[in-house]
Amino acid sequence: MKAAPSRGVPRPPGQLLRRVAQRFCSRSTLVHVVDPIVADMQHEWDAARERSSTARACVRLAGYAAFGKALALRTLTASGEHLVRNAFGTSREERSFYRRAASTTAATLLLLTLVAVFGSSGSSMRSLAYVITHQRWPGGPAEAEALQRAAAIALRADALANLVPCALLFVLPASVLFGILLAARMSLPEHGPARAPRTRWVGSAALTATIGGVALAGWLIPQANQNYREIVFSSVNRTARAENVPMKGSRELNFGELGAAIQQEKARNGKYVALYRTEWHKRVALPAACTVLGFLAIGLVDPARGRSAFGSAVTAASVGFIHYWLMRVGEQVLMPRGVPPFLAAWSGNLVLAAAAIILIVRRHELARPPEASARPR
Amino acid sequence: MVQTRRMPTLSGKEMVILELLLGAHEMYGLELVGASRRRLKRGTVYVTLQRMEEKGYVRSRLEARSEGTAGLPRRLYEATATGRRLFALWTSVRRQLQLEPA
Repeated sequence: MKAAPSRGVPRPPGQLLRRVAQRFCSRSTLVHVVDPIVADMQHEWDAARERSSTARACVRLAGYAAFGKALALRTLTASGEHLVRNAFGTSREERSFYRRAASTTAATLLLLTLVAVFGSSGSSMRSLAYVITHQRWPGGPAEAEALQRAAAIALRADALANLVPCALLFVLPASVLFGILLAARMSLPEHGPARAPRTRWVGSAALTATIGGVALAGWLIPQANQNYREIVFSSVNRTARAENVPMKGSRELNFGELGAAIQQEKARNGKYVALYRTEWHKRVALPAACTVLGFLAIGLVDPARGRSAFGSAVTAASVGFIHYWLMRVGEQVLMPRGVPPFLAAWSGNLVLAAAAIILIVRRHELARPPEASARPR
Repeated sequence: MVQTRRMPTLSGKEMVILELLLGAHEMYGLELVGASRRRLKRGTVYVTLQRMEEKGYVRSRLEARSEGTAGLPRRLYEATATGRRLFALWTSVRRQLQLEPA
């Protein structure tokens, strides 16, 4: 039996983290990544015991941050290696999981992207009609004619095509969640003991979507957004010359340009540093939501609850909506109130990652055989 | 150690780690971060060390526990002969290609 720590002697930090990691990590990761981080943190904390409580808290925080970052990095690299080694799966069951997840995600993406493109085209039509009517362009038209002109611009094929990348990114996390959820539910055996979806499979599928999403958000979307603005600008303002293209806003800058803009704003103490940094984090946070929601899917698959496609769709739609809403709150409410850009952009992912951890831990507890739960620790 | 037929390579972070380990006998993760003058970060050094150990560039052992120390024993790393040879080779190639800053 373990001796209880004597009262007054503080316990070194990191023990709970280590216990949590023991549930999820492989032995190699535990021995070579988790234990060294915890050991270094404990020694640093021990050395800081004579110093102030603030210094000790800083040691703790730095250790926890390193722990989170190292585990995230390890998960990403391990999933990437798995994906490269077993691109098409090693077993029939695994191949079938990837095929179902990919086809469901692709079909959902197509459908939701169409809805999102026409939805945003409708809203830009209204704004365009307002601009055409109220900005008094030379020979400004009447309202009905303005609406007609706005519709002609917003429904142009090249304008619609440039809305596709942005719409794709916004619906990607929910589509991935639905794809994984449905594939995982369909993979449950009809007879015999129910099993949860394999973490590695889900990780690989979600990571692929995340990598694709980062490429989309970092380079393709800014270019498409700028193309859209130029098309609309040249259509509305027919007298504009070709060289008078609209200036790029934060959403039209690619990763490199955003980085440069942040440095420039910092150098001149500009007021847009937070805006640019939030946009930068958002470009990573939105695709990373695919991984977060993928792991949430593991927690959401209840082997006892059957294989309902409708249930999966409702769950994915609800979670997707919550995630979108949380990200909007981060961007529209938290960022203007001085919350650090990282937190403002990642708030949705952090909340849902916490939910995923709770659900997975709970599922592990439920899946444990009764004699194992009864065993004294 | 994982045996591969691929040409051994060294990333920038791996170079820094080997450079530091060749200067000292054994170091632990946080010590490497401290000595690297911000070239290594605490969140990435352990994953890099694990990868290097898998490739056979470094080896590690747990430190001996001394009396009165609480917590887990730290993991100490040192460069292997492969790591040393690779570092020497890589450094000379870089020098020959004049990639080293003057």
